[in-house]
Amino acid sequence: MTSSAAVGIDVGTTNVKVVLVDPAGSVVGTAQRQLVTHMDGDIGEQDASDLWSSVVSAVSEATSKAPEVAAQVGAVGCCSQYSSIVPVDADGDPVAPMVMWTDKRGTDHSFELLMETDDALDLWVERHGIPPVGGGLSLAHMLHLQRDRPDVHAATSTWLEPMDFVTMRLTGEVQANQGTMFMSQLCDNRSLGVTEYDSVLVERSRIDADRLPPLGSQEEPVGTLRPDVAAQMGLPDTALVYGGVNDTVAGAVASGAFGAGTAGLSIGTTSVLIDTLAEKRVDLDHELLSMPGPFEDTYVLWAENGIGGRALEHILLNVVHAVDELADHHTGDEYRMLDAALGSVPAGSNGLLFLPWLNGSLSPASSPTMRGGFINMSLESTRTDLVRAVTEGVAHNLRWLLPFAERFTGSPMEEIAFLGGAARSREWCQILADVLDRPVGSLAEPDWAVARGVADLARYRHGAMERTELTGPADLGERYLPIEGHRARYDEMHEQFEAAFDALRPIHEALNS
Amino acid sequence: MATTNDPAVLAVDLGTGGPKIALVSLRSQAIEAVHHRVEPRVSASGAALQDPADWWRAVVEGTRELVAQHPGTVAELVAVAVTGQWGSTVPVDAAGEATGECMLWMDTRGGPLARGVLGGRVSVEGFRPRSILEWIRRAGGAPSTEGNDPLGHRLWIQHEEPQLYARTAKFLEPLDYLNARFTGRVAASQTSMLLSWLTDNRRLGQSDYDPVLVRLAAADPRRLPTLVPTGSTVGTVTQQVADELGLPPDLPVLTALPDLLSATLGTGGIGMYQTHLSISTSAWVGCHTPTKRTSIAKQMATVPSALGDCYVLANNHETAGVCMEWARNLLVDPADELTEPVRSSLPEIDRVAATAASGSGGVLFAPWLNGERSPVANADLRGGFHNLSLATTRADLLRSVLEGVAHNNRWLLEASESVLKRPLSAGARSSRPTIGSRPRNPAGELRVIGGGAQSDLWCQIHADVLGRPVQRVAEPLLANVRGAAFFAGLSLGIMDRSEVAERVPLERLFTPDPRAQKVHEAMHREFVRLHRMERGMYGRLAELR
Repeated sequence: MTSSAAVGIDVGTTNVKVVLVDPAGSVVGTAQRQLVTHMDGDIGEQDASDLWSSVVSAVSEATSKAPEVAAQVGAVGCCSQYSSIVPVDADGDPVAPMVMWTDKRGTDHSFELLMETDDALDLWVERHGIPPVGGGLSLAHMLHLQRDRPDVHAATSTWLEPMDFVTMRLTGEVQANQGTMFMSQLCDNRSLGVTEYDSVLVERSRIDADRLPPLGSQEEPVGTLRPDVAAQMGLPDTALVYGGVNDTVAGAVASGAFGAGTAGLSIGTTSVLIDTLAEKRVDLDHELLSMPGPFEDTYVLWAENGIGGRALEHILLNVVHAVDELADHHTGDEYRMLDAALGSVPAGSNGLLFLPWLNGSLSPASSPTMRGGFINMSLESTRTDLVRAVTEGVAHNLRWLLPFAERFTGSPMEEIAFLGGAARSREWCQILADVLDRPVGSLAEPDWAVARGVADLARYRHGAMERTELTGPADLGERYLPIEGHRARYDEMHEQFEAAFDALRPIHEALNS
Repeated sequence: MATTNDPAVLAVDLGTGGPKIALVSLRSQAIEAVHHRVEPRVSASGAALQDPADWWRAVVEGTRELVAQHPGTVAELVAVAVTGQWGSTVPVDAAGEATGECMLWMDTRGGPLARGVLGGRVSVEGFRPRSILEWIRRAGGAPSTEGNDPLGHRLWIQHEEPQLYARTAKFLEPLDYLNARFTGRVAASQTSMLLSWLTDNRRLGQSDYDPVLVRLAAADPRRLPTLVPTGSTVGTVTQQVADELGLPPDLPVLTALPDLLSATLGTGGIGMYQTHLSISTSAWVGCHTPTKRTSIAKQMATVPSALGDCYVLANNHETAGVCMEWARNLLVDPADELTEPVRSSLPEIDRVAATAASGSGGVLFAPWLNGERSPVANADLRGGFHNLSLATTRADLLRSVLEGVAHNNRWLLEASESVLKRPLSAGARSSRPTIGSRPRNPAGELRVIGGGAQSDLWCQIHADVLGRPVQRVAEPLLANVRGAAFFAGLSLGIMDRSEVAERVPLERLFTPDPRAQKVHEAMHREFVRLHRMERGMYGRLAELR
């Protein structure tokens, strides 16, 4: 065992979070920076240069909080949101904004691949897992850049996912891996640890293979910190940078999902259910997939439940604390009163049901034209009913997914470890325990759990941590048990939640096609 | 009674939100009005209650204010005319004093009891097949199986509050209760009792209950108020009340009119099929018709009109204008301390709603906050905001409420056209039904009245959603008191029918914006499907209430 401090970098959609972990595994410094997404119709973009500046400045701030620990950092790891593509030139500089996972461009090119041969669907499902359907997947983004933007394409040397972009800027080395390139849909995932793209998938996709980053092993470091970067960040230039992972994989590490019976739940912008399984599986009917995990013997469940925390944020910022001609009710901390509001309304929100599909539904029933709503509103409905209904609606959506996910992994999710900022709300934790009808533990310091997960992963790769230690039970802050008296109410409302999806789907299809 | 140049009527319009009291001068059409609010108390159990003493207190205070301010008009008074909400129930003793609270038209607690009386093992729309034929043949309509009318109210009191039932001499409509307070006489008329469906409406001018219908309704005949002919004088204002209110002695009080009937006069469009839309707490589409007609499927019927020789189309949306009050309390200024209080009058809310585009960014609001009556009777339905996206703002939600109520009104208007088998508009039309297919462009203009019509934005939205011009009657909030005054003038023989149309000023015409109309057209197709898609779910959710 080599004792070592580590830095974990977590690049999300809305912010960058950094933790500095000391050799004993304790978090001794944290920092975060906000990121701005430009959205317009199908387009979703971020400025990758700003992203890199945010990473540098956040790491510098985190290391400045404990310089003596920073001096002992031997391992650095980065995880990020994924299915986003940064085109970079030979110097590693972005030649266009990062095409985000929310960006729908290139969908037509993907569909073309799917339609032009009879076996395309089976081929992709068998080898990779996901058929080329576009709708925000990296393969579509790359095809979009290659075919629709010739100027950008001519200047592009390599396409990089955000974690690989950060790793490249940290080390000067261009290297991805089977896990980080998952959404490029070009690897054969039937076995783990592959370092080559699948030649058939590459050929069929007619992608410019020379723009694809080389694949390395996750186990080996990509390189050491560049001296200039190390100096800026307050880190030794001997620190090794390990290959990136996506933030779902980092979440699996953070939530203890590698242990039996425990699953992770992340409610950030979207809700994601996280668990592990031993083999590659696909359930296209319910949009469930397995993707390469951080170890060469484990896959991670990919179960995207769609808009989650963003729904609450949206209702709080645009309805409750709206800024319009009636009032400017922004306070800068719209969550301050959340628990008081949630606690003032009985379980079941007096019958009000919130449907959280504000941007379409994903797993377990995908419909891009589905939208959200409040239903069963009566003359007595109140605004606090609305707020509680939003948190319950996000929980009902997860409950809908849960049995499909359990069938998929083949093991029950007996307990849920809840990570992400939403876990700070005690009432929401209780609502999740009640609606999901199983214990829910909130991770200690839930805001930093994912960044800490990737720091731990780097320490494990560095030999500073045992695998059993890494995959052991998560560090839980508090555990919430289902309240017996709420069960019947939520059971009944859940049935109608699912019925609402079926009832309203055709209406939304007609309105949004 | 003094001979006058400009005879005036003290008209009372008892709305669900409290009475409007007005002095209406028949020739000059000068109207002086005050509104005293009385809020309904609604609860999740389905109860909706008001204290009748609050109405009377408001009538006394309002009248005294008017009398003090307009002594000249008071000297010209020739009658008292009461109109307002109907389908509610006030239990009273023999002297006309309330023995309990008023169960309002939206009180649904008697639903199961009503279904027990009306239904059978084999039922058509909730009725025993043979009895529904009797109801329709004789009355032209039938009590609601949802409990939200006098039959359901009476059954509720009888079974759930037997002591109250025992001390109740008569069950009165609120309007007849006010008349009893003015005159000391407990009486009703064929028209005031319409929603009890106990008279044979094949003949107009009835002053007897139909014994078959009384039996089918399981009603105690002794607890039914005596009927007097519509348009007759119930009595004169008692000396005590005249003194208290400052009214001249011996003022005659006319039989009370449901607001639908007075409003139809108050729009000035009293010709056959001249159609108006009323947007107040609830909403309706109304017009005079020469013949009796009933549609159980679309939940509407024609009922005897105030004119005495024709019928009026009767239908009702449960919640219309009240949806905006609701939206204000829910979205803008709730008492939950999450945000600082704001000033939020309905005109201010209109201004914000106007910042959202036509179509409310896709948000489709279903206004069935307390169930629906026509064109579908379903007390289980509830409201909702549909099609919310990440772009939805509060302005979108507020505008969607205005638009959703307009979609509901279009649904009702088109159902009315289908029941009457003709396009409806405010223009007078031949009473001959169209044979065969309906005309391709039925979009004639519509008159609009009611408190909701005070909003320019809402009138424009109605023009856009309905796809036809909307003509606002001047002082739309006062159409009912104006109509009640006309009714008194006509009944007392001091004006004739031709004068009604001449005396109603039309204030502003709203014409559809073609682009907005196109947006709403697509959304309306989905709106009319909504209740079919949701009714199963709401039936099950109702069991959880």
